[in-house]
Parts: sequence; structure tokens; C-alpha cells
Amino acid sequence: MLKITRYALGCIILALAAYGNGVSAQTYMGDDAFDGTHKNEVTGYMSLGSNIITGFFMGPAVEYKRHFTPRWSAMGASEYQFDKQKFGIYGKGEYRLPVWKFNFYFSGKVMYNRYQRSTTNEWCYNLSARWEGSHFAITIGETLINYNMLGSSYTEPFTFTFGAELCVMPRKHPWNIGLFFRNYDDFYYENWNINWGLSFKANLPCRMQLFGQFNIRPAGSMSQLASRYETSGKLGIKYVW
Amino acid sequence: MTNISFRGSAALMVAAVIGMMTSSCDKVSPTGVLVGTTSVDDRVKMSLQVYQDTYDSRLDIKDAQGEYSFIVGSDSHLTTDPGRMDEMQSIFLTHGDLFMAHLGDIADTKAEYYMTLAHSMERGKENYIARNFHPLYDDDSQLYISHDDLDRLIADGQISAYGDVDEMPFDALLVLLADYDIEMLTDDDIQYPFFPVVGNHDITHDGWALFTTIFRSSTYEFTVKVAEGWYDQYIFLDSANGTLGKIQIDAIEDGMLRTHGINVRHTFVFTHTNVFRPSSNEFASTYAREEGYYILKKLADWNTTIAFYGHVHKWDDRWFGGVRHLTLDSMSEANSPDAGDYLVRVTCHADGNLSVERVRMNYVAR
Repeated sequence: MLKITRYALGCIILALAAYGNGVSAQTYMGDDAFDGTHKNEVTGYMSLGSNIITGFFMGPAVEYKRHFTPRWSAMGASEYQFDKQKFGIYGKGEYRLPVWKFNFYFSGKVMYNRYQRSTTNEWCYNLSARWEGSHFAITIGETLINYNMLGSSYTEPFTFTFGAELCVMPRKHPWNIGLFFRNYDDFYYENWNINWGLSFKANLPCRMQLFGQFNIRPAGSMSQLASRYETSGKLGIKYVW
Repeated sequence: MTNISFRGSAALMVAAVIGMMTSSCDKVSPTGVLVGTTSVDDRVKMSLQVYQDTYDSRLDIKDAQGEYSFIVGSDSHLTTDPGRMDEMQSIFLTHGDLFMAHLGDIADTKAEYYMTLAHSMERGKENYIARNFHPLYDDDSQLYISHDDLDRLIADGQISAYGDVDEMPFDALLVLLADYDIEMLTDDDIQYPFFPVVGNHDITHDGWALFTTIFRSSTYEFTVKVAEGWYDQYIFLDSANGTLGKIQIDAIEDGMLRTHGINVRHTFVFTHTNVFRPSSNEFASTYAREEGYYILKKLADWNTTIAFYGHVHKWDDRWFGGVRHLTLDSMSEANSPDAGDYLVRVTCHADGNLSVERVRMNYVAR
């Protein structure tokens, strides 16, 4: 009963808050395609949250993306999580193939993560394809993950990578909000462990964009009736020129 | 009007997602919310309470000096056919293993399946008592003396056969037993040495309630004394949700599962969810990445000799970080219909060496 009350109260308060701030709370869903007006994007965001291993954590991340042509782009990014004692860095190349009303993206990504608490070095190699429409994006791929710790090394079998996003407004709209469901994020690839949540964006003056994300990571798969592993949020700004 | 509608949609979407976040707390899977199962933290709270209540009196096996062995099975997914579960207990009894361990998914959650399991356990315990304990006076007395204790009396010339105690006046028997610090046991006093952990199939619907009716706990530790001042340590962890959860992690970090002040020869760890995936097309989940690394490091910190896992129904034998990781195949006749090597027996020799062998199960479903 208490949970039902809390749920209802949470829904009402948040609905009012979200609706009341509707004018300014514009949202982001990741319009990655080259728009013909800029070739450079730099993004900075702060993420914070709580998980069962470290408790509270927070840390910054930065990304730089360069559109070499309307089809080809490359980006590099890095993050540091203070409380997790985790450092990550990756490089990614992407090719965009526009087909009718859709964009198909084919990307390759190499990522290194250092988990200092468990003295683990992790390398991830990902190949993905993304089908992006006006209100949705679907990503599938394969990831090869190697980690070494304690003098041992292990390369996991290929990990299927999948993701789906849905947004309420067309992707190029000045603001947007949507849901996502996937087994990866910027700096990790999971197995069958999904994470899901809400993302948003809002265009700001001076070629800037505000964006954010609420993310829930259940442990295990849904077949395990997962318990919470981590909840987190991101808030950041993108600047293009 | 259109804008209001979109804003309304957005607001509702925000409200629904964050409402679920705030209300569901540690049960965040949409399935979990619908089914309303226990969370790992709920279960660990209960398990640790049982562990604290019973740790000294119930779990430690104090007398296993010399060589001993134990067997491990996994994922029995018992439904209406107890054949493989009966066979595991029969193998244990016939070989004279010290105890059995089970890695979860022991039954498939329906009450009737747990009744099948309970009956199998009852039969197993009856057989165990019949093999290792002498009933006093008659079968209805509900009092037993262990064969090991009676062997001491025989060795000292106090009696010449187990049945002699039935001929003694009760007062004289009490004096004799007191002299040798021997306890008479009731059926409830006798711990049937079957040590399980809970699996994901054990926690849907009322699974945890059914599981605890029979086994009580899924997070606990016990020791086996192997020489004066030296022990082997056995740690059982609840990972049925694919995570150890905050409370269990805290308990581990607080040292609750560590035995202090003794010398540990071997540490063995048992839990349901596997760390290593056997192949690309195995979508059975493992731990979240960071937690998997935490567990691997913790097992190494504990100087674990062998860590046992189930869940994925595929055999895997691997060394990592100085620890041997064994993932067991399913012993269920539904998942593994043919006879096969579904159990593992570990023999701990007196000199500290180990031997690990896979044990064949011959039962085939009728």
C-alpha cells in the first residue's frame, strides 16, 4: 500500500513538474547526423548516481566529434568516475548512409577502461549498425571484451549489443524527450544486463544544447527478476561550430 | 493544442519512468514490478538473521579431521519427478560424503514442486539418519545417538554393539553419555547436511517463501575442522537476481562472512549466477560488469580454492586469478535428459591436496 501511495505521489509530482516546466525543459535524443552547418562538436557532461559496489559516485566526461564529410565522422571521449575509481577512454569512427527518411550508421569503437578498485584493465571492441528514424533508433552490434586482473586475462565470447530509443518529437525538433532500453552506455558494454531510462535534450542559444539522462541498471536479466544494481543521471552541454 | 498534447505526453513519460524509479526502489525490472518478488536485499536480511541465530550451534562441522569429500549439484529445476534429486542424495549417502551443496534453481517455484522437493529431502534425511544414527529403545522414541559416538563407547569397551544401549536402564545410560559428553538427539537436532543457495527460478512468485520453508537461508558460512586449529571454510552467497545486492556486499566488506581467529586451509564459495559465459549465444545474464570484477577480486582476496556456479546450464572449468572456477551443468532430467556427469565431488585429502571429479547421474525420466 505504501508503495502504491509513493508511486502515485511520485507520478503526480513529477507530471506536474515536467508539465509546468514544459516551456524551458526541452530535451535531447541525440541528433548525430551532420547538419551542414558545423563540423565540430564538443560535449561535456557530469554523471552521478549510486550502485551497490561503490554507493554514491560521480564524475565528468568529455567528447569531441569531427565531421570530416557529411558521411564520415570520428570522435574521441574520456570519463573519470571519482568514487568508482574508474577511468575510460574510447575512439569511434562512423559512416552514415542516408536512405529515404532514415539514416543508417555503421560504426567501430575501441574503448579502454581501468577499474582501479578491482585493478582491472578492460578493452572493448565494438562494431555496430544503427537504424535511425524520425522518432526511433535501433542499434545492434557485436562487442569483443577482454579484461585482465590478478595476473589473468580473459576474452569473453562475442557479446550481442542491442539498443532501442523512442522519442516523442521528431529527432531534429528543438527539444525532445524519450525512452531507451539497451545493454550498453557510453563507457561500458554489458551482456544480457539491460539498462533503461529516459533521455532529453533542449537547444540553447549560441549553438549549445542541454541534454540529460536518467538511467536504471537492473542486475541480471529480466529472467532473474532483477534487483537494482545502479541508478544514475547525466547532465551536460554540447557546443558545435 | 498539439503542443500541449506533446508536452502532456512528455510529462506522463517522465512521470511514469521516474515514478517507477522512486516507487520500486530495488526492484526495477518491469517484470519484477509486475511479479512482485523479493529482492536480494530482502532475502539477505532474512538469511543473515538466520545465520546469526544459528551460526555456532548448527552449521559448523567440528569433526572431519583427515580426508573427507563433498558433492555439488546445480539447477535441478525439480517439478514433479524427484528422480535426480533422490539420486544425488543416494550418491552422497553411498559414498559417505560429508555434505552436499546445491547451486540453486532447485525447484521451479510452484508449491507442488516444492512439496515434491520437501518429500525428497525428508526421504533423504530419513536415509541419512538410518545410516548414521542409532534410534534409542525403539523407532518411536525420536531420540538418536550418532554411530560415531557409539563407536567411541565400543572402542572404550563400554558396550560391544550399538544395540547394547537399548538394554541399559535409562538412568545408567544418561550417566554413561554424560561421562563421554555425548548428546542424545531428536530428529530436529540432526542437521541434514544439504547446503543450497537460491537461484533465479527459486524466487519468482512465492518461491523464496517456499525455499525458506525447507532451507531457511541462502547467505551463510560454515567451517569444517581438518586439524587442530585448522579449518576449511565454506561460503554460500545469494546471487539469484544476478547481483549480490547492497546488504550482502556490505556484509562481505564488514567481514561478516569471514571466520576470524582461525587458520583457514581451503575456502570454497558457492553461488548461483555464473561469472564466465561459455559461448556467444548464451544470453543467460551474468553480473553487471563492475560487480563481476568485484567478485573475481574478492574471491582472490579470500584465497578461494574453488568457486562454484550454476545458472547457465553449461559445464566450464577455468582458472582465473589463482582461483579455480567451476560452472556446473544442469542436473535436471528435463534439461539434461540423458545420463551424464552432472555432479562434482571434491575430496579434501589429509595432506591438504584436493581431487576434483565429475560424478555420473544415471537416472533417466520415466
